[in-house]
Amino acid sequence: RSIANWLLRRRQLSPFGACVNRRGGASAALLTDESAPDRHSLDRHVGLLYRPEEADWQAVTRHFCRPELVRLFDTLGQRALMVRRPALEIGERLAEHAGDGRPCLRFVLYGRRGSGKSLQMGHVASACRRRGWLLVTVHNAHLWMRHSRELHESAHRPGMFDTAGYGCIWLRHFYAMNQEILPGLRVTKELSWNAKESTPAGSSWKEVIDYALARPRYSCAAVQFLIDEIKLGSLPMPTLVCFEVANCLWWHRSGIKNDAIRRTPLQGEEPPWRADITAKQLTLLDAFKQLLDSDWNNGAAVMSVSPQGALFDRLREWMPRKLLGDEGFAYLDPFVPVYVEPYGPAEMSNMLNWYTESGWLTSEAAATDAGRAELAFLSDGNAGELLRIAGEW
Amino acid sequence: MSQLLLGYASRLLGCQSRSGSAATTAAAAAILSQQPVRHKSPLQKVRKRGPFPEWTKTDPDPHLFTRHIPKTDERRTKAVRPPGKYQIFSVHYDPIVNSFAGHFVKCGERDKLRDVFTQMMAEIKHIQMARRNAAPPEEKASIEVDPTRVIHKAVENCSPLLIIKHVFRGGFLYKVPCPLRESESQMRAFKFLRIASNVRGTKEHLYRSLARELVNASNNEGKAVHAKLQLHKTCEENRAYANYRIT
Repeated sequence: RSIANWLLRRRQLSPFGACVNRRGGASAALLTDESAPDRHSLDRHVGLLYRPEEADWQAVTRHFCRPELVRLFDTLGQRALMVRRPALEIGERLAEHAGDGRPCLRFVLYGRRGSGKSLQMGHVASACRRRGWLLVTVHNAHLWMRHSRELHESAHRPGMFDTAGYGCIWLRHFYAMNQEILPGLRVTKELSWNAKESTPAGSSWKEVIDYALARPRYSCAAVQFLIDEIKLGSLPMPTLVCFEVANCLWWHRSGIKNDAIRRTPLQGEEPPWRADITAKQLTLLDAFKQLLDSDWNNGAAVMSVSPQGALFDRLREWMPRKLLGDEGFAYLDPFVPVYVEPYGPAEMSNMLNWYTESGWLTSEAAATDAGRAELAFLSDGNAGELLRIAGEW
Repeated sequence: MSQLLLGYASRLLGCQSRSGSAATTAAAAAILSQQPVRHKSPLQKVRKRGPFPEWTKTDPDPHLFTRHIPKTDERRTKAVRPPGKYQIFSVHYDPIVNSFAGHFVKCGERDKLRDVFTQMMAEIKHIQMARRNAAPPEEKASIEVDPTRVIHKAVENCSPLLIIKHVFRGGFLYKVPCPLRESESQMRAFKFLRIASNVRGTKEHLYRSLARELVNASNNEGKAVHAKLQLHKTCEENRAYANYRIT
C-alpha cells in the first residue's frame, strides 16, 4: 500500500502535474482580447492565446507557420496563437532600439526542432509591421539550397549564380508584405541592369520590383539593389530582417550540383566536375547575408538556427555554436541569443484546453486527467510534437 | 548446516544479527521444531492448458510492484496470458487500430508506421470536419469526426460474413462459401482496406489515400466495401456447394 501511494504521489509531483486540473478534465482556454501583437506586454499577456487579425495573418504571420498549422486553422475556422516570453522580450528591445543610429541589432532564436522559433519571429514581425517598420523576411532559404529550379551565371556578380525563379517569388512576397509602405520609397541612385537598360534615380521601389518580375533574369539583381538601398540607412522607417534557418547560409554542401547550370557548352569543353554549389556562390543568399551584418544602421535582424536546416553531419545539434559552425559564428558575433523553451505547465494546460475547446481533440480520453497527462508526457513540452500527436487523439 | 538454518530463521524473523543472541536462537529453534512443510509451487494447482483469459485492468500490472498484494490473494496465482507486444497501457489505446497498424508493417518498421497512422488520423479529422462544415444543419450531427470511431465503422462495414474456400472434390475445384471466425473476418477487412488504398507510384502518400478510403468505407462506399460485396455475391452464387465445406 505504501509503495502504491508513493507512486501516486510521484505522478502528482511531476512537472506536468499542473496540466491536471483540480476539478478534473479540461477547462476553458485562456484567451486575450488583445489581437495586436505590439500591445502585448510581459506582465499581462504571457501564456495567453490571442487571435491574430485577418490583415496581419494574411500578410505576415501566415508565412511563419507550418503548413500543418495553417491547415488546422482553416479546418477549425478559428486561429489562436500563444503569446510567449521570447517574442515579447525581443519586441521590447526593438521598441527602444528604433531610430537610435546604432548598428543593426541581431537576435538569434534557438531551440529544439518544433519548439516554436518561427512563430516567435512571426509575433515580432507582425508587431513591427504595426509600428510601421519595413519587413524583409526569408522563410525557405534552406529549401533554395536543396532544390534548384533554374541556375544562371550571374551578370551583376561575376563568378556567382542567380536563382531567377526564387528571386521572383521572393519579390512578390516582399511586395505583398509591405504594400502600404512601398509606394512612399524611392531609389536614391541609378540602377543599371545591363549595358543598355537602367532605371533612373528617384523612381519608386514598385517600379524596380515590376521590372524584375517582368524580366526574371534580373530578379536577383533587383534584390541586391534593394538591399543596398536598405543598408544606406536613409529610409524613413526602421527595417526588420527575419531570416528563418539562418544556419543554411554557411553550408559547405547543398543539393545543387554545378552541372545544373543551363548553358550551351563551348567548343571542345569538357563536362564540369560535379561539385556542390555552396551558399557563397548564390547571389540571392549572399544578398540576405549582407543584411545580417552589423555595418548598417536603423534596423534589426531576428534569425533562427534550426536542426531542420542542418546538414547530415549536424542533424542532432540544436545549439547556435554547433549549427553555425566557426565561420557563421564569427560572422554573426556579437548577437543576442534567445532560447525558445518548451511549454511550461501553465502553457501546456492552456494549449490542451484550447485544442479540446476548438474540437480538434475528439477522443474522450483527451478530456480526462490521464489523457492530458499522457499528451503532455508524449510531447515533452514541444509545441510541434503536441500539434502532431493531437492529430491522433 | 544448522548454522545455515539458523541464519535462515533469523532472516525470517527480520533480525540481522549473526551473533547468536538468546532470543534469536530461541525463536529460530521454535521455527525449526515445527514440522517441515513442503511448499508446492502455487502455480502447480492452477497450471492448465490454454486458452487463458486476456489480461485485464484488474490483474496486477507486470510493471508495478506487487508487494502490497497479500500472499493469499488469488491474483498472485491466477493464470493469465501476458499482454501483447504492442499493447500499451494508455487511455487512448484501441485494439482494433493497433491490429490495423500491425497489418501494414513492412520489414518490421512499426515505428515508421506509427507516424503514418498519426498523420492518417489527422487527415480523417480534416476530411470529416470539412464535410461537416459544408453540410446542412440537419446532417451535421450524423457526420463522425473521431478517427477511432471512423476506423471502427469502416472495419465493420468491410468485414465479410462468409468467405470462399476452394475444395477439390471428384476432379473438380469447387468454390465453397464458409463462415469465418471474428479475427479472420477482421483480417479480411484490413486486407480489403489495404489493397483499396494502394496508389500506384508516388502520386499520393499512404496516409492520404488510406484516410480517404476509411472515410468512404465508413459510409459504405468505395473500393474496399465493393470488394466485400463482390465476395458476398460470389458466396451467394455458389451457395449450392455450401455443404462441401470442410470445417
